[in-house]
Amino acid sequence: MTDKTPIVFIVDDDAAVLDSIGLLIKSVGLEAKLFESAQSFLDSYSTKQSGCLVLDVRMPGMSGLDLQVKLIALGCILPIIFITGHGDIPMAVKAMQYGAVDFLQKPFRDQELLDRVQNAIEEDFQTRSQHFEKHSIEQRLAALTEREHQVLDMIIAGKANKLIAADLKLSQRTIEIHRAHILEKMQTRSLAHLVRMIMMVSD
Amino acid sequence: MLTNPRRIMLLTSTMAIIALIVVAITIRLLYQTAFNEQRVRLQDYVSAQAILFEILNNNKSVNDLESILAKSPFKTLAVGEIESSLELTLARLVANKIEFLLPRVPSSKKSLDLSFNTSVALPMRMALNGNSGTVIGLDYQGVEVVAAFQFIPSLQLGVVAKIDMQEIRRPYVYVALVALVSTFLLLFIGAGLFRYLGSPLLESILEQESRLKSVLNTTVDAIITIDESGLIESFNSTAEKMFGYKASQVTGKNIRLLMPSDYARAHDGYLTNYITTGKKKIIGIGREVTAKTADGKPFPIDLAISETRFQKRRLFTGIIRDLSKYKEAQAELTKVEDEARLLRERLAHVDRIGTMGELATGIAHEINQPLAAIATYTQACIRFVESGTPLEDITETLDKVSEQAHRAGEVIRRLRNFIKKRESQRAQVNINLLIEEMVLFSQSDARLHNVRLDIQLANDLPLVNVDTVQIQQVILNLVRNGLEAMVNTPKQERLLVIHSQQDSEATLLISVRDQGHGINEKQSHLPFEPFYTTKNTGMGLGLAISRSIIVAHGGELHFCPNQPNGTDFHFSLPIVVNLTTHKDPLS
Repeated sequence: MTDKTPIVFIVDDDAAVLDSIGLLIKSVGLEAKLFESAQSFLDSYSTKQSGCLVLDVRMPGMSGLDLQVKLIALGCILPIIFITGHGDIPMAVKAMQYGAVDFLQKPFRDQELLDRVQNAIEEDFQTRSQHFEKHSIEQRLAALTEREHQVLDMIIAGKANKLIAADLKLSQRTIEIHRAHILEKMQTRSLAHLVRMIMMVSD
Repeated sequence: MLTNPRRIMLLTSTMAIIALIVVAITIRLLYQTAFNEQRVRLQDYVSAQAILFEILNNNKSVNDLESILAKSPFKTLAVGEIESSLELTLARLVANKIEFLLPRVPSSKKSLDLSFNTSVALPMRMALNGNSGTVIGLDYQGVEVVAAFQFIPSLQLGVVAKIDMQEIRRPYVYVALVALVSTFLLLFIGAGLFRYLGSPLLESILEQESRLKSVLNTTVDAIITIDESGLIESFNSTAEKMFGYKASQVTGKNIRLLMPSDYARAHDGYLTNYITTGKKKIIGIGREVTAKTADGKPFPIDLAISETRFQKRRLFTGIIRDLSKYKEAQAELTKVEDEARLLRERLAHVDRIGTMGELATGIAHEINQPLAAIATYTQACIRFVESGTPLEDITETLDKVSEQAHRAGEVIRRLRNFIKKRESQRAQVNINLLIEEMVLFSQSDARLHNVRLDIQLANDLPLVNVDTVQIQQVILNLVRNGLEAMVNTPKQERLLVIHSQQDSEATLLISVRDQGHGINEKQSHLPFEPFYTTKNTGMGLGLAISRSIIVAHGGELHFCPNQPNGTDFHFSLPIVVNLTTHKDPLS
């Protein structure tokens, strides 16, 4: 579902700045892809690609902020590190509100950028694994029958088997069988893990 | 000097005298002929009578003279011509007295006999002296006559046939009188006719002449005529005022009098040179030279010379215009223009500094970009060195660092060049290069405003002779106005077009078109007004200065609505005609 090798995408309309950042990223052994405009990045990017985005705020045509908004709309979770030559505070605030990872002012120290890139990749990795887990829980949940869902809801609510059987006008034995099926289908053995999984998908 | 009526009188009387002389000669000749004829006739008559007397006498005795006379046909003969004074007289000498036999005198009347010593009766006395011939003299009555006389020796008689001079003269006198009167009459009529027919002609000639004179004397140009040797023939009243001489003072003097000494020395040479070679150096061309007044003060003139050829000689007419005032005005104008230029330069400088202040953010970005690149490149280099990357890769990166340093330096150079206070300097350039360089300035500004720049430059444009910084300033002003006009335009529509093209044979047109709020018609006179501004910052001088810069370059700056929105500002610049450098009139 997610491509393994993270890629650092760099978008800047200034060729020299773009090239130098690319060089810096490659010098620490990361893979970098360079784009001179937001549009060309948008055209070639697939949401499955993990990594992070180093993005210039001000660009002719589609600006960095415009691109951020578009990516959110596409459901893209790629973390964004904004760079700017202007140190424009309102713009930085806006970018952060939309979920940017960080905001760097040109010229910056190499370590600053590299640290942030590393963090972003890490974050992206985390997010993507979370997404992956959530997705598999949802898949498991989907395999439950309607009756099993009813029983699961009551288990989460903390009701004992006896109470559930009474509520559903079923035998206690039947509830136990359902409970065993639910644990099996949700691929867990402990009730505590089951509750945590449900909590994860229910927000 | 003769007045014209007197001329006519003189002409008329001369003609009258000539006519009269001709008539008189003619009459005289006719009279002479008639007179001679009369004499011959009288002589023939007298001879015939003498012969007749002798014949009669041979038949009768001398004593019977009375009877001969009584029978003779003399009388009839004598009165043969009616109303004629022709008369035959017959006389003999008796005791020293002339006794007239004819004409007969009645006894009652006094006898005609005269003493021989009398002064009258010349023909008879000559006849009685034994002569014959013709004579003009007084007859026995003391009247002037023409007479033929003969002596008849046998009878001792003198015969005279005479006719009054008056009678011979009378027709000729009459004719002469008629001729005289008719001559005067005809002359009088002729003179009247001449006046009647000739005077309008004369008047028109006179009018023409006086008109010419008044033109000569009222023209603002001095007009001087000289002959082939350089002597002044005419000098009009403007010339009198201009040079301070009276026409009478200079007429007949050499034209050198009116020239400064160095030119005067050469002038005769010029004149003879032209007359001998025929090479025109000034004739028909006109040129600016220096003249000299009566006070010896030199002054500039415009001199045009024309040549008039007559049959035997030629005249040169010089038309002279005093250029002193023109020169003064020109100097004054140059001074004013210089002041205006200095003022414009100062204002333009202030405007450039102001513009640069407003552009500071963009320019900072422009410099920051290469700096950022340099910083990042060098840090990458350090890592390369640490990781033992091949030297080639490192060198390549260092080259890029150097390139970026130059890029930053270039921005600063342009900036300094742009805001430096300087004299106007013109150069022949391709306008597209100016636009492209200006776009570098504007790009960061455009980015700040989120505006897309579209540069549409025509290829192979002819060169223009301009002050590059000033023209860039105009372009920058227009671009910045365009950018600022689009603040409220939706982002995707923000487009600024910079366009260059050849507009006509002689001009280029550069347009800057925005998609902004536009200028409404009511305000259309305002944008070029100094201190008019719609912006929060700025002095409102940009367009006024831009227009004055373009006008000083011989172009025009205008605007019109752009399609679909916004405004189209455009200016023209004259194309350099040839490649020879010509002096900038403003610098």
